[in-house]
Amino acid sequence: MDNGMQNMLEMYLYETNTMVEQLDGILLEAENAGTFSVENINEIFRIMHTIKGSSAMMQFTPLSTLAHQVENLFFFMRENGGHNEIGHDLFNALFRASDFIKAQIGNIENNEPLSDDIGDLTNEIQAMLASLQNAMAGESEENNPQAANTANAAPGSSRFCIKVFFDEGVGMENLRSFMLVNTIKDECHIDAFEPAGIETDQSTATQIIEQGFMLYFDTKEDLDIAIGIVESSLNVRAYESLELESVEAPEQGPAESPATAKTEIAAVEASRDNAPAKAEPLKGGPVQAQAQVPAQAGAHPGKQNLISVNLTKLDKLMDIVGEIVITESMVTSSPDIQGFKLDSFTKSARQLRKLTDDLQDTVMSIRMVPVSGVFQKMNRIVRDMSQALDRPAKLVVVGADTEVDKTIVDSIGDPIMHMVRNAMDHGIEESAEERIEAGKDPTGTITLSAHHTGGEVIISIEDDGRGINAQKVLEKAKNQGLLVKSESEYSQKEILQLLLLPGFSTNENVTEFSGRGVGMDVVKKNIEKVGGVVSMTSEIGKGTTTTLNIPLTLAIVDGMEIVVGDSIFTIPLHNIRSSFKVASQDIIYDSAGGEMICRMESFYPVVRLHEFYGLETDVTSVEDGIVIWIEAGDKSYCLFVDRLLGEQQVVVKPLPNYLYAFNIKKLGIAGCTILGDGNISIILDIPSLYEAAVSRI
Amino acid sequence: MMAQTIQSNQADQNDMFYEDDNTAVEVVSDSRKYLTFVSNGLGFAIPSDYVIEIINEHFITHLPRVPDYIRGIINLRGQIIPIMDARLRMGHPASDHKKETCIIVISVNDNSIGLFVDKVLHMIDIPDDAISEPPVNNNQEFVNGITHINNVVYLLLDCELLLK
Repeated sequence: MDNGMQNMLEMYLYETNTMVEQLDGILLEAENAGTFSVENINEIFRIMHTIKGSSAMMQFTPLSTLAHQVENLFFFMRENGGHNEIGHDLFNALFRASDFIKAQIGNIENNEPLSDDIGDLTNEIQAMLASLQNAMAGESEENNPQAANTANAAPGSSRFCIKVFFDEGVGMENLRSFMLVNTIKDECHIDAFEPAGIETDQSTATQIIEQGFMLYFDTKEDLDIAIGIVESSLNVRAYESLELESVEAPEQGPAESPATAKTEIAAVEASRDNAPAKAEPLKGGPVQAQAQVPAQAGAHPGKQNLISVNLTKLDKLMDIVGEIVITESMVTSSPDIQGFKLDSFTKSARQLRKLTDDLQDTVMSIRMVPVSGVFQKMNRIVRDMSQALDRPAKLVVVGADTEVDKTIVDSIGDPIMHMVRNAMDHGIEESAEERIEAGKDPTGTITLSAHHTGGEVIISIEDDGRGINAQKVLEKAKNQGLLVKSESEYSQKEILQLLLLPGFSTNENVTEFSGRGVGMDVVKKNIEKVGGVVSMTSEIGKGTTTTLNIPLTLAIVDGMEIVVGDSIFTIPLHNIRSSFKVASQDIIYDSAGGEMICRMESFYPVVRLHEFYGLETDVTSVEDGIVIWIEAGDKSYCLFVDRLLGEQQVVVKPLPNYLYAFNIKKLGIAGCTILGDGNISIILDIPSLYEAAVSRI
Repeated sequence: MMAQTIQSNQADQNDMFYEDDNTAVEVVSDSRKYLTFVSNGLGFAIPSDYVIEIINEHFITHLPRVPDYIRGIINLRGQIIPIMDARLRMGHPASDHKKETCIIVISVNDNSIGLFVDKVLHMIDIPDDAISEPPVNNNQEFVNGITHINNVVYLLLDCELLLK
């Protein structure tokens, strides 16, 4: 029982979260357009209705009360229009409502009590509704008769239907139908018939044979008369008398344009049902309409087939697939079968390989979600900050459909938010005048983009603001004692990296949004947690770009297996630029005795892996081993290893927690993987290996 | 003294299960089961609740840049387990003969770790009142008790301290 409740709660939270996100999206879209479209209103009404219903079921009263008020408002607007009269207050109130719901859901998730402090908001919404009602009171009277007229004219509103089948092989079905229609018409009123055009169009005959001939009637009396006539007609094999429900009617209704007919009829139905209520005070209206709405929503076309699955189950699935990949290579490369010529085994093994590859791809794709969800939220932040700081700004989103692993999406939300806030707060100029003076568009632009390159997804946040003053950053860092070498030695790139250090904030004043100096280092930390790299570029007067390079997925990487002494290491393939042999005269020494190699006219430090890790190996002279040129973000260097084993796809396994206490993460060890023969290979973390090995030389 | 204890243990090994049953009946006060092993010539005991399994030979992958008492990691049926050398952890010299060495896989606070020991002895029941406090000026920082069962002295190892 308890478990069932938990499931229900989870479902509720998931559903409501999705809805609120949708709501935000619609609101932003509508605000940009300056008005609500009919679909927007319907959609918001539907969202609020669902939130109201499910909140009431879960007994989250404040949520259902608020949702109810908004629903009322939108119900009125849907019926009578008038949303344009409220203007901007409406958007603000709705955003606040959406915030309130989000906050409450946060409380529910954290097991905190709900706040029922919604008086202001509901009052405000009620006031809006009341003013709308007053404004509309006169007009609605006039609207009613019209609605009633259209209802009568619409064929789909028929309540009754007869489906007639003629004797098989009788011929000329269309004309027989026409005769039938004529006979019935003399006696009573036929609302419509299907197919149309029977008297002229021969092809309708086939349709009548296959699907029968449909006659629609408005009243029971008409139907009864018609049945009598049909029964007495010649050549009628069978007939069905159907009583149609309002929503089903359009589906069987005139075939000319089912889609348009559907919405039209549904709308007419709703207004007809409510017609009597409108004459009375409007309070009673919504209750009657509610039953109609879910039905309408249910008929909404293009609904996707989605299920929501607990992420832990997917993680488990991923683990199992990882094990299968390993076991598969264990079996096929088993030493027991080496040297035998096993044709059918090889064939089956190849087939198995193909299947496991497919399986792996599928599982990966299940875990992939578009970044649009995260990006969407940023719209809201830009909007709010733009209003609060009175700086006109817009957000441009590029590549929102780029897909990344679910775990990554979860961990990039906060960093991106930080950076968007930074861009708004520090990047974009304080006033439109300042921008005009600088010859820019008065509206600032923040561009959020995502795209794939190889094994990485690159997300960049770009503003066209004033840029970062490197000199100021350097001074600030000096004051805070963050410099490790003399000021003049810092390159532009290094200075910008200072911004990512803990405790660094250039802003003198702490604002509501940012400036506490906890921003960028959190960004860096979060991104590094998922194996990503943060880098910044900036040009004074032109703007700042922050780039996040994040590996597409965490669990399986393409790696290069290398050997040093008895140990096997894996270097992620996307970190490798090239590998080559060098002669001892290619090695250049710096003053501290550190080794360097010149590649493409730049010098790169050489890290001898066996020296750094203290491994015993026979390969100590440069000629015997091999040098791998690797890079991660802006760090590029060379690794000296014994030899390469070859490329392999490996499943990343974290090391036991206990070992992380020894800080091995900082020493270039990202995790490990199990090779086909059951041995363990250690996966190198290229950026942190650089920090540990090169920075300290 | 030590040589004698080990010999007597070896003699006992065959009827170890009998012995367990007997003691279980005899014991009046509360007692717990312990797994005993030898490291650097000393008899140790750890509560059997911690013990997951005992494995013999296993290829250990060396892990660079960790304290020397971490011998590396092993792949135990897909699970990665760090191996701690009991001798080195307690400041004793590493052993040179590998004949009877074993890995005791223990789980402490959800951390699985393999304890590399010279030799595993057997399971015994130790009544709580048979355990005495180690001497105050004791240098064995991981020992939280001493017991004397069947003429053999066992040092009770504190597994949680081992992982600190």
